[in-house]
Amino acid sequence: MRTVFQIASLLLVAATSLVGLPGCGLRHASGRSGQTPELVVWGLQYGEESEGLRARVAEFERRAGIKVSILSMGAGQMNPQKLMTAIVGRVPPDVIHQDRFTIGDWASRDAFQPLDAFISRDARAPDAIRPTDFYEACWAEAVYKGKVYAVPSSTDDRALYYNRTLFRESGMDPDRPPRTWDELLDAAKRLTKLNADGSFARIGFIPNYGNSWLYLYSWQNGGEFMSADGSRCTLDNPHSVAALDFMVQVYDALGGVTKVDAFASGFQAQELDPFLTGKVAMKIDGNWVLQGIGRYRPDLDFAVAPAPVPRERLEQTIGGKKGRFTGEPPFITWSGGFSYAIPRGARRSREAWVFIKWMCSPEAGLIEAEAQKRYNLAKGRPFIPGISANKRVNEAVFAAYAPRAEKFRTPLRLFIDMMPAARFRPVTFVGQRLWDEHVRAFDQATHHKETGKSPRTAMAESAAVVQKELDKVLNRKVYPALDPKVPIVIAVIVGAGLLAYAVWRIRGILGLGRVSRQEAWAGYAFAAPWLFGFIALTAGPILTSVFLSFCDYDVLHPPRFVGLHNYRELFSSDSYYLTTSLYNVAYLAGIGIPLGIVTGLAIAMLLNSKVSGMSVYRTCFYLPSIVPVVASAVLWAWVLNGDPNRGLLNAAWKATLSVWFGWDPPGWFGAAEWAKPGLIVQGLWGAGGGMILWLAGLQGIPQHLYEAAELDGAGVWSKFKNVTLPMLSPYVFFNLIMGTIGALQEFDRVYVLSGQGAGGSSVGPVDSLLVPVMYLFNSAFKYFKMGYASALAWVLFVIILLLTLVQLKIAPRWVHYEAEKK
Amino acid sequence: MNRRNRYARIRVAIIHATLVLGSLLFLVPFAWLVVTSLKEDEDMSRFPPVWIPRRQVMISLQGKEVGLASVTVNGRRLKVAVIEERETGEQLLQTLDGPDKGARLVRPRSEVTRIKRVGPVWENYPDALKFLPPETHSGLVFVWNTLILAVLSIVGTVLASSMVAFSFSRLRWPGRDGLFVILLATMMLPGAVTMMPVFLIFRWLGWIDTLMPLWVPAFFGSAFNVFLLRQFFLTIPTDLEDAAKIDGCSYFAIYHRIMLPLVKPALAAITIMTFMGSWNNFMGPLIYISSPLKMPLAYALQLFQTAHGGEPGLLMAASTMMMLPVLVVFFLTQRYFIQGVTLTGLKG
Repeated sequence: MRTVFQIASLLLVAATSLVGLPGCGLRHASGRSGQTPELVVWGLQYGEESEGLRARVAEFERRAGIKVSILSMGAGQMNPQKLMTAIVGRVPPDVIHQDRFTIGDWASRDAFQPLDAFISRDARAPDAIRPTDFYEACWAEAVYKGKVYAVPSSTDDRALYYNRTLFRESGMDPDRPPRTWDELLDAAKRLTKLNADGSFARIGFIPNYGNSWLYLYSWQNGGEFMSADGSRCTLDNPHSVAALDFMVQVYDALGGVTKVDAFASGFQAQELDPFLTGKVAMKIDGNWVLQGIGRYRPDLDFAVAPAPVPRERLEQTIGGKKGRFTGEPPFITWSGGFSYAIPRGARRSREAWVFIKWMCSPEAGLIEAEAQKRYNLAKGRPFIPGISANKRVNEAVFAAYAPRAEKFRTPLRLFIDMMPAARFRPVTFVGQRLWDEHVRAFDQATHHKETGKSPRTAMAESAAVVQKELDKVLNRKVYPALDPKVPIVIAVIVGAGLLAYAVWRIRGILGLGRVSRQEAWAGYAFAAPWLFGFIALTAGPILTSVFLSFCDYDVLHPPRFVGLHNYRELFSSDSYYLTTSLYNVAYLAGIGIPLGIVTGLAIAMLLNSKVSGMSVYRTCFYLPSIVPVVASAVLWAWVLNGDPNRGLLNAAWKATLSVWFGWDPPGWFGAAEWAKPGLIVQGLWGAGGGMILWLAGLQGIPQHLYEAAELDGAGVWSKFKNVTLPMLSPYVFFNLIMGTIGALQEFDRVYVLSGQGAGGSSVGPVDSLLVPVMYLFNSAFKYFKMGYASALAWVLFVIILLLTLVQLKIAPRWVHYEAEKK
Repeated sequence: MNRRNRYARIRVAIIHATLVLGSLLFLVPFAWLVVTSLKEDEDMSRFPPVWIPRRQVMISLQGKEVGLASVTVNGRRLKVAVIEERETGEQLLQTLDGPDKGARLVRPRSEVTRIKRVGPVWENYPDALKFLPPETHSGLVFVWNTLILAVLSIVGTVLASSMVAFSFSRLRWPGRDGLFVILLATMMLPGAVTMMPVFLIFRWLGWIDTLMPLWVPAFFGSAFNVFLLRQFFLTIPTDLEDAAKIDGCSYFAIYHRIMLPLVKPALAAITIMTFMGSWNNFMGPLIYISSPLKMPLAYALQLFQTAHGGEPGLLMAASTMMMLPVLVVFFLTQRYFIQGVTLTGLKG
């Protein structure tokens, strides 16, 4: 005991001397005060394989005399929540390398700076950023409401890859790839080969395997996803519906999406990629696939052609007359890629602009290509350059670094030449939602056997969801901005009132004797830390939170008073999230807490039976409960891996339950219906922590009660039911209350286990792990809907309060308190 | 008598058996963690699972370290050395026995069986650290940050909570009882309610991306610890205090010299709980920290998971390293730990 206390006090002393340190010491470490200016860049993939990027950045550092700090961890991996928090918290990076399709979203929230001033300032300079140097699709994707918010860097586009050997084998001309949808469907059927048992040996073509999505088919058919002014979602336009219909047709022709998915679930990556192994004969995919082929199967006899289009488009006319595709390019593609932007509030935006210009210049492109080529050759891999969004960079790099082999050179040329005919995803703040919904519509329509939905219904449903989201934001502006004086006045009034009340209460001191007055002042002095903390970090925030819950506040703009709107939204248009998260938490608590209580109690009762070696057992059971939550979650994500070759529990399952009853191992965190049970199993591992308390409870039961029961002829079960359980009921009650409160605030392990760090849009499969605090955290710190999140917090608080009150109310009926105990 | 004795013995045996089985069940994930952190990548996905770490046998061939393997040639099992991995998925081999010893042949990787012996792959540990950004000094920065957080939180909590508890239990002042009820009420308040405004306050102070938001609040005491210590202070008889007052002791001296030493067990429990809490704190860093140089371990581990989820060897090695200090602290202070849990009624 003494030693521990001594260690503790030693730590105290050591710590007090450290108090000043973190503040100044760490700020120093961040290097802002150093001699060379430092530019902080987030979002670049920096690792072993990116030798070219390293060379490009190093050359910049050498020329500009600026040190570049590339965050290769944490926010550097571009979790949107981290970026937004940093921008709101006024500590943003100077440059951000960002997926271009999200630029509209960031720009709509004023999170990035418009770059027009920079662009027009050096319009004449030799290293100017000229919009005309860039492909139209790439440049337009970085423009929001007429302003440029980012400079496109890399890009990619899509075309049809096909296996020439398999074409020959199936009696088709390898120099005549399909050009229209009809030919594609026909070729898909001819190239598909079945095993004797009817399962696939090879599939000719899977519409959504590779990287085409409904987007490409839809554009090919003349469909648009948003109205020109961005106010309407037109996902359900007839051309897009017809495109989805074509995809469904191909799946049905192959034997249905379920059969195709079952085959596709066995697909592997890298050297075992199904296109490389001949399991898939054709696919629409991006230019990056060339690198994979070059690295793993350079001997593959393949070719690339523009993705087939509707016949109408290819012929441009209908029955000799002008059609809707007349004058349009016969073949199109779609492009995505990255871009550089400067976040709002960046400290070194001027240096940031110099950096961006360098990174987008042809010269830097050549330096990168040279370094990357050298690295690849050293590793024995061919070098196939990617595509830049800047035409000049592409020409320079292609001329010097395009692969010699025609097999790779021709496709690369095709990909570059297709770029002017590239389409891009609409620039809108609902971009992510639109993407998610178009995937859902595809899913619903292809599974029409299960869902009974036609492409038209599926698309109409998805369009409605996106439209609701659009309307929500577009109609928001009706609320007036709040005068900043209002909250200050409210705060002053509330503060003055509280102060007056406090003075009125303290007034009594003056009437006290000298000693008690001294004691009273000492009392206030000793309680001061808590009093201050309570006012600054509890009472003040509570009032602020109430106030915020009636506002629309994203921190970057002044709050708008919206009345009950946040609450209304929570219960009407967003009720899906509220009910899902409450259902999930009810599931977790309803099953998890009783199981935890039973496990803890069972262990405690075993340990209470006075056996030798109890302390060893106790340690074994207790140990898991002290494992840090994150470490435990990381471990269990591995133990509960769905693949029985990897996950320990599923290996045991496969060896026992699968053999005895033929049950397949569950998918745990990868399957919607198993994610919550997985979480409960992980929680049970820590149930030993509760055992200590149960032990204390068990040891407090007077022995004479058992003796009396035995005299009455009570058996083991009867003793447990009539003595142990009633005597332990206060402990059960305590566990229930604490368990409920804890369960409603579940967050850490859900965050880790549902892979939220990677920026996933759904929490667990189909939101199966969405818990209230997770939703609140995302609303508050990913979307910075502070008012909305505050409203949610109060709803949560009311629920916790009600549950606790109900439990307190019911308690007297079953909780047994001994007279001498409290 | 004899029969009863035998019955008791069987009963004890059954209890022991159940306990051993249960303990094993609870310890298996630990074992799996450690085993996984010491396995080769190739052994990660196998059924049945590999429990004993094995590693490739290396031999020296013409001054080069090469892997030993076996391959079947014309129905004969031959020992070979793997000279080169080819991009085509094939391997260049050199036979080490058989009639054409020293001959070279090329075989697809799937036909070559690597020869292994039992042995842990310790390299996973340094390799895991190698993947960290260089400026984090192999993760030492994370440890340092976590230690700073733990120490400052412990100092703050112990100091502030004991002072406040002393005030609430041993001193009389107007408004005390009313405020104590409020203090108890704050324990019921979910952290989510104050999370956003507190963020705005720390933002206003310019503390985003610093460690300050994570430890400064500790210096305001925590309601739960105040409550706990108050219960302890209340059990101390007033005689000591009165005697001290007569001797002219100041209130601070009473607190410091008399009261604190008497509640050491409770302080030890609070110290341990706070240590665990700050070592575990995940949501705080998640909200406030974005630079690797300021990250504590728990958050760093989560980031490591998102980056290297596909490399279980490295991930489990990192996990083990993060867990180890907590386990060590537990084993050193086990008694106070258990005592603390019983005192505070807290789970883990």
